[in-house]
Amino acid sequence: MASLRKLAYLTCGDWHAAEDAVANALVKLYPRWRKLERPDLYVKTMVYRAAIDETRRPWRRERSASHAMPEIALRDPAGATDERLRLKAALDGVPPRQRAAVILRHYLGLSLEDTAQVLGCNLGTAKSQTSRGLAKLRELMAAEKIDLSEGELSHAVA
Amino acid sequence: MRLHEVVETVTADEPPLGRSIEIDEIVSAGRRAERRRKGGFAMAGAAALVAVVAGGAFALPAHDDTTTATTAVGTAGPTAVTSPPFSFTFGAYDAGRLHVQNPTDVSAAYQVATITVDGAPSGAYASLTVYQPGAFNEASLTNATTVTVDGQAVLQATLLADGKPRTDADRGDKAIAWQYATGAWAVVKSLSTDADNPSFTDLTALIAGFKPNTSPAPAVLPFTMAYLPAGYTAVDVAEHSLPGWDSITGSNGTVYGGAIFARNAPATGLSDPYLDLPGSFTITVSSLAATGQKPPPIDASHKCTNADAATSCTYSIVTGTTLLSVTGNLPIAEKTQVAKSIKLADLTDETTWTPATKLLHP
Repeated sequence: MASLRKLAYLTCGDWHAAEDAVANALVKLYPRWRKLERPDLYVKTMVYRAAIDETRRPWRRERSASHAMPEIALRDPAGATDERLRLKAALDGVPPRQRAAVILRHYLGLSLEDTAQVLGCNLGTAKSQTSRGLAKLRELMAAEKIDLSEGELSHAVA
Repeated sequence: MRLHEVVETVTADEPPLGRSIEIDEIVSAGRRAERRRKGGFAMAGAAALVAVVAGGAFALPAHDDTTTATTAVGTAGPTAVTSPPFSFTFGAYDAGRLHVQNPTDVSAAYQVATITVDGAPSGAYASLTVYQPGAFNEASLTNATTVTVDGQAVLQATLLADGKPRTDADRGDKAIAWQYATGAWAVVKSLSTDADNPSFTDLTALIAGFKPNTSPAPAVLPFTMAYLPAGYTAVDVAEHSLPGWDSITGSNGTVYGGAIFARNAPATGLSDPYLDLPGSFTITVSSLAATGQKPPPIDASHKCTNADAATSCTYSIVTGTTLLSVTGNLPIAEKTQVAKSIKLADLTDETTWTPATKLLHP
């Protein structure tokens, strides 16, 4: 559940929208369960598509200040919040489809074939989306003086 | 930094799960969706079935714009007579441990009442749908057998999932149907996890108690609307429940009312109340307070809550603890215009509610 919500969040950038996306996907999954060969891929596909849809909706970008609680300034001596915001900005700078490809392939550990199935594209496109996403993420992180490790990504574009 | 660390850092502010992701709710919603699918809603049945014509003791009024209701009583092939549109023509009654509630949903083709069952398993529900002559496709009960109850021919069937054997969880799903007038069927459907609770005997006990009211009660709704997209009309309205197929699950006091609008709605060949009519949209007015639900989780007061395509998402307006939703296959601009043209009545005073035939108030 948590990984699905993270996939949705990293795709659409909003925890509430991510939660909606996961809940809707799971509701749709239940009655189809017996007919699906790979329900795990199906639900990831549904979550991904729902999250992409959320990013396209103008009302998702609406923000009303009227009900907002005032933010309280807190100390952040370790700079954790600052780092998180910089990393978030870098991830957000990667186009949503490429970002999803990277997350599916290298965070959730899907094979290239499964990644292509979730993204609804062919193998070559999945490969190029993953590759471009990684390159873009590395570029944006480099601009923030953060180095994205090569280690676990060595198989990334294989 | 590794990608895992990037993701874990970025998602470190992950809030606790909110109102949406509750396993029980998901399973419940999923089962409901499955039952909808299983209910068929196919306009044409897959297998032929002998239609048994039985002489009923009365006839339920049919709908007509011009005439008022009368009750035809007879023993040999009574025919349906007329009543105003969107009016309820029968009322609550009891039969053993089954209790038919007042009908809450009505269209030109049927009326729906929920049934409560004393001692039923958790999550079980049942409904009585009374169809106008010719509206119900009895062949949709694909595995029905015919039995005779007090001289009345009755179809009884277990409900299949896409024509396949039922799962253990659905082994209690069953239906009975009888003709209360020539060509006019009353159908009871019961969804339960217990094969014998309620039993066919419990269900057939409902037949004798079914009587029409002498004076139909018009359905009233807690809103009026100033805008309706061209070509659309109300095809199904519900008082204190969700409209259409959803009415069979009842409202638990959380729904004030709703209506389905469509350009075309089938009046014959039905196997269930309307569900997902092509090109239709639905308005519902419900209470968030009664269930303790949180408003849709977004800062703005207007939003689409459904993660489907934009044309099928839900446009919602939250006013205090009241949720007005417009959902269905309508462009979002039209949906917005419809929602903003709606004027709510005093939800606590039904005398201020509007007869369903007068919903449109420019």
